[in-house]
Amino acid sequence: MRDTAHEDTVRLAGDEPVSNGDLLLDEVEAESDTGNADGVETAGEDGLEVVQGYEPPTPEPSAEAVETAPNLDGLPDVAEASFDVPVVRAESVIGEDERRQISPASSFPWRAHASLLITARDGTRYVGTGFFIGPRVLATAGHCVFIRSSNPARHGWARSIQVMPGRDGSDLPYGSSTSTRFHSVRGWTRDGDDEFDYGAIVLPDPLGSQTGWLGFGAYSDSTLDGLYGNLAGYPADKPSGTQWYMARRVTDVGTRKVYYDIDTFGGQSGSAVYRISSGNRTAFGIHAYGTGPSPFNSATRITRPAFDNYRAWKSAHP
Amino acid sequence: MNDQARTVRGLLADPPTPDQDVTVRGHLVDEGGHTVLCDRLGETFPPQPGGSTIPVSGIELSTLPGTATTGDTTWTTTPRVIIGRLSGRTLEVRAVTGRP
Repeated sequence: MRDTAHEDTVRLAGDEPVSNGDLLLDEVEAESDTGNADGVETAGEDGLEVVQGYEPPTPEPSAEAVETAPNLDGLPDVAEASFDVPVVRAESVIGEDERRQISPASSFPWRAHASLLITARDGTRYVGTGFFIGPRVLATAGHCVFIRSSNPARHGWARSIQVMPGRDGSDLPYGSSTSTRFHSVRGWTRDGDDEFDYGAIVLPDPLGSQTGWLGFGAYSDSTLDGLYGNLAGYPADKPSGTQWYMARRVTDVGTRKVYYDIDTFGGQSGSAVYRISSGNRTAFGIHAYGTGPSPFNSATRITRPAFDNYRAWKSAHP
Repeated sequence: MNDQARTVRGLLADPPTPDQDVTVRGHLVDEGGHTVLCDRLGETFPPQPGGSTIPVSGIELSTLPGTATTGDTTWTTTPRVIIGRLSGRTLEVRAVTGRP
């Protein structure tokens, strides 16, 4: 196992796993791997991805089958959404927008990230992001699999989620797969506590064997403090279905959250916030929220209980 | 920005008496006619109310500047400062401030 040191050894009630099915979880071995080794992009030596045109945010320089994308009927693209003021500055873009487009997104690690088309109970559609942690399992935000809505007809487990790995606009290099099986924890589904806002999507087929997957780990405060967080996802303020990347150092570490000034927007919930160490990419957070009381965007931190849940979910769906 | 404004979480943790005005800062989100004030936005698109939330009444989001709408979801793109009073578990809005 990698660096998974964390003091949190007590499984809190909020981390009690729940699913929209009747699956019983078995204890199986831990795993943290990248799966398919073909077409792997070499990571930078400084904890950042090497992306053409992307300038690292600090003085130290250094450091990717075609299927037609779905018709998003009923989900207006952000460009079609009605903004009554110009979207000069998106709500979670902090200062200048420093995100860079990943195109194509068909090589690793980009293909391990997936555009999500989420259909809620009442048929309302959302877009989000997920990332493979195994052949059939993607990690994502809890609010991507279980919608906590003020509208009772919408509130509850998603009806279905279409997963499109490595999507680049209308190009779906790995096709898509639709899931109706999800996991989360009671802290989110019952209590709506944003500190437990994490979940998982289970695919009916092992699409992740083609894309590879990211590792995930529960790290200590000292490891996370100031660590470079890499984040790639599918923001709705950019051309539909395109993947965008940015990296910044972690600005603050909470018991169950990680904060950063990586620019984000709606659609990026569920993105991995990951570190690169010795060429290995390991998620330590799941992007979930824009700025709120905190001036920074935030991810649900992968604590030890969350790590244990993800490991169990991954192992239960080999 | 009103530095004296409370968060929704703070409001729920220490609610004022019903005859007291309270100032709260957060995002307004309307989902098919159900409007709430929340501490932050979950970043799906459209966004979802996140953090602590409280139902609000006495406001029509479509009349506010600085909102966005897709489908039946309307939200404020920047946080707003709400002045209102608690009525049971609902915040009755008396005024909305804050730059869009």
